[in-house]
Formats: sequence, structure tokens, C-alpha cells
Amino acid sequence: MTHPAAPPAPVPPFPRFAILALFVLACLGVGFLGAAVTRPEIAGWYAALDKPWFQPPNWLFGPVWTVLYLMMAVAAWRIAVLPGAVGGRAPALALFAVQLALNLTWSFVFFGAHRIGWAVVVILALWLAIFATLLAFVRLDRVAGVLLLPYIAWVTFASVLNLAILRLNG
Amino acid sequence: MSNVALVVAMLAVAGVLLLGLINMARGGSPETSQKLMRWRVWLQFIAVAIAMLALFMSSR
Repeated sequence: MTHPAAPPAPVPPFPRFAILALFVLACLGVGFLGAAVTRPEIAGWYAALDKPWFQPPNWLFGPVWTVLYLMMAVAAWRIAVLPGAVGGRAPALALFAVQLALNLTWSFVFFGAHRIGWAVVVILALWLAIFATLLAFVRLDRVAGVLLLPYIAWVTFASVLNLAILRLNG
Repeated sequence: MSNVALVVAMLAVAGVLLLGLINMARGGSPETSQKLMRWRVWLQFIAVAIAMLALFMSSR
């Protein structure tokens, strides 16, 4: 006997919150790794450097970066879970990965290797990568682009800070 | 010097923003609004760049 083919059971979508958790884990993971190279240098090497007057207090950096990492994770997640047909998602997420890698690289170059000049090169590359990511994101999802605005603003300021520290200690 | 440039840039941003708002309030053409918004974004970009330059200049 023949039955009409049963419609295929709908594939349960990979839960959206699980994808969000992955992005949060990746971004906060980068934050923790960066903090691990940074922390041992704060009291010694970093404290001895001349800083400009607009240097924020040390305690501020942790909370700021935590918020920024969470915001960028949500932005990337929003792009990742866009409905299937949307084009340009893969390059946008690739740019996101590049900026995240450069973000970690900066901590290793500045705090790990004490190369303030090379850190300027890295942070300018990071700025460009964030800018490219922002442009790619905003085309696909306005909110995702807006979520990156505080990030690029902070990195703009951090670039000036890095340049000023180079100038004062070069 | 860079402080003067910063004030000029900020006034330019405020001026263009105001023109855009006036155009919108009067129900002016959307194309004009678009053009003014683009100008504002660019001027804002330049103003932020000058502000960062001024900050850097003041670091010594």
C-alpha cells in the first residue's frame, strides 16, 4: 500500500540563543585573553610610562570593554541570524572576525611586547577594520551597525591615547 | 590653532543640522533633506577628526 509522502518534519532551527552565546563567548574570550596579557603590566611597565592629561583612570577600561564586547557580540549575532536569503552576510562576518583578531593583537603588541609604535599601526588597522565591518553591518541591519558605533568611538579615542603615549615616551 | 578649527567645524555641523531641521519643518523637498544630512555626516566626521587632533596636540 502506498501512502502519500509525508511532509518532512520541520528541522528545528539551531536555537538563536545558542548562536548568541557563541558570539558572546568569542568576544568576551578575546577580552579575557587581552586582560591576561594586560594585567601583569599595569603596575610596573605601564605605570612608569608618561601619560597625557586625558588618560582615563585604569578602573574604567574593564567595564567599558566588557560593554563594548557584549555590544559587538549582539551586532554579529543579529547579522548571523538574518533570514537565509540575505546576501553579503559571510563577508560582513569575515570582516568582524578580522577586527576581533586585530583587537586581540593590539593587547599583545602594546602590553605583551611593549611596542608602542607598532601598537599604533595595529590600532589604526583595527580602526579601519571596525569601520569596514560597520559599513557592511549597517547595510544588512541598521541596529547591528548602530551597536558598533560606541566601539569605533572608543577605538578612535584609544588611538589618540596610544599616539599620545608614543609621543610622550618615544 | 586646532581649537579654532574645532569651533569652526562644530559651528558648521550645527548650522547644517539647523538648515536640515528648518527644511524638514517647512516640509521642504526630501532631496534637500538628504543632501543636508550627507553634508552633516561629513562635517561631523571632520569635526571629530579635528577634535582628536586637538586632543593629541594637547598631550605634551
